[in-house]
Amino acid sequence: MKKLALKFGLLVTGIGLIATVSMAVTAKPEKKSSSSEGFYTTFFKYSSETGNIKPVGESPPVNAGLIRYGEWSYRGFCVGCHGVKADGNGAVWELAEQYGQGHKLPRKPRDFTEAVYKVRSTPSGSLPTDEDLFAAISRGLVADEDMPAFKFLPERDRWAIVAYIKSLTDRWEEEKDDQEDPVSVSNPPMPTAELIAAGKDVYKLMKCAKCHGHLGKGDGPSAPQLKDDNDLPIEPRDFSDASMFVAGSDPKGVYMTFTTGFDGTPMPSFADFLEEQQRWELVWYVISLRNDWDINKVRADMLKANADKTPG
Amino acid sequence: MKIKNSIKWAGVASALLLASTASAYEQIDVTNGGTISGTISFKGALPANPALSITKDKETCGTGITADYYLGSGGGLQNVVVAIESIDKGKKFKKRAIIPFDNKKCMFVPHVVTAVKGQKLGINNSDPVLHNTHLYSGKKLKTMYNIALPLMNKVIKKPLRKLGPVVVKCDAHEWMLGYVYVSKHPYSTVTANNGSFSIGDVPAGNYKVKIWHEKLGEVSQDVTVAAGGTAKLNYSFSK
Repeated sequence: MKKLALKFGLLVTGIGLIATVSMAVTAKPEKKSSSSEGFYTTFFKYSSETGNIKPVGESPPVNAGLIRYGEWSYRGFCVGCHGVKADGNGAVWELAEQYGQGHKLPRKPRDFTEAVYKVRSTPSGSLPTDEDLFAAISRGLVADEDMPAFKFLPERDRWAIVAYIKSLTDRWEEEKDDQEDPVSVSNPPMPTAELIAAGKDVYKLMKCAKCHGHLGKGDGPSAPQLKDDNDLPIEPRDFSDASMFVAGSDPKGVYMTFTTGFDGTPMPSFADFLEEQQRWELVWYVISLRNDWDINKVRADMLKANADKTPG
Repeated sequence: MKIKNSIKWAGVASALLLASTASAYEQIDVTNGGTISGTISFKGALPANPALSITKDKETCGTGITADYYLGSGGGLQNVVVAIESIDKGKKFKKRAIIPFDNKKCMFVPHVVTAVKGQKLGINNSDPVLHNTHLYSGKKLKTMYNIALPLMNKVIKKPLRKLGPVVVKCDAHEWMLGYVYVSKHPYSTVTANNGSFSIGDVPAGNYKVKIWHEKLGEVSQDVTVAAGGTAKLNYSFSK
């Protein structure tokens, strides 16, 4: 059993190395890497089309074997960007930053030794749940992060990677008594014109325009100075583009984003200042700022989804 | 650049502190304890505080304000943390105490404050503008909390769990900078405007005392406290 896992790990490492090297060499140095060609695009396309984001099966028990298996999987799939030391200084990042070679990542890859995670279901300051990490690996942070989706991986592999990256820091052990409960999100109410109008007031009250601008274009007065934890510039989200929502562009994803904040970035948690009703108003107002916003279509889709869920 | 420097210092300081972390602190009744007191000063004239470039919310934040890195009078240096490095048992403290930390006229008040691990920071916004209180800890100074404060006068309480200097910033106003120095015991304080400080109820013994300033770094001094006595600790930073 162990031998088999090891063998597969080696195979995975092989694939990963090829992937890493290809990522690094695909784009020509004199050209700004284009997102419309090459290995990177193919990988993104394939990885976003295959597999499930949420786990279907049970998560395997965490033990030394699973962590070791996760380490091999990490070396295969994650090492290129996140690095041998798992501190975010992977070859893809360093080559582009230092030598102008290969694919330039818009953000520095996550440093797993610090365990500060942007997309979580837990309040600001708390560690993400295992399910959060599983979902992040599966869905990727495609929006502006270039973290591809890895939902094509077998669930066991993804759980193993979760176990491995958690083993890289003492935080889970040291802070296990300090963790606050995840935020539970109910099903979103149907969007209405009234809800959206109320959301506009919440947007004003919460002063979202400070960074995101009055029309949600990401051009507020504080926008130009924003930096992330790596002291690198970071821009507030432009709400007009649905594809740019890192934690998911659906109502629940938007709800979670302003409720828990994106730790490691300037996006703070507004949890202490918003009632449940206000949160949904804000969610629908933010979503209504999209270029392709069509309230009738969204309502029809939601009605259909609800009907599909109701048995009989 | 200046901010980056201070972060580097804070990083070094917290790394050292983490390395010296040992067992939990035990609260006891201290009888006939001693006092460590003295003055932290600066040799020569205090360096000039740089002017802050106020780019927004000028009606609230004002203009022409300078940073508060170097404050003090008569050679004394304010906002210096003085803390016993390692003490396993000693005086009691209020674990449930809330340490007030205000956003006022786009500055943090107080600029430097000490706390015991487990106590809560009571974050408030006294300004009619959006602030966010973004706490950074650890040797790489990564996000500990990031709390939005869109409305005035609502105290948000957040527990302090990490030891060492916690750097506090506001992403909405990039010049704002503050510090919370977290120890696992209550034997820590911040110097007053004349540089003076006093730490009481110290059980007799030999201690290493840390002296930390956001820009000038940190030093460690040996102090012997006699039962019921006062141990003098004076230190002078220079550039």
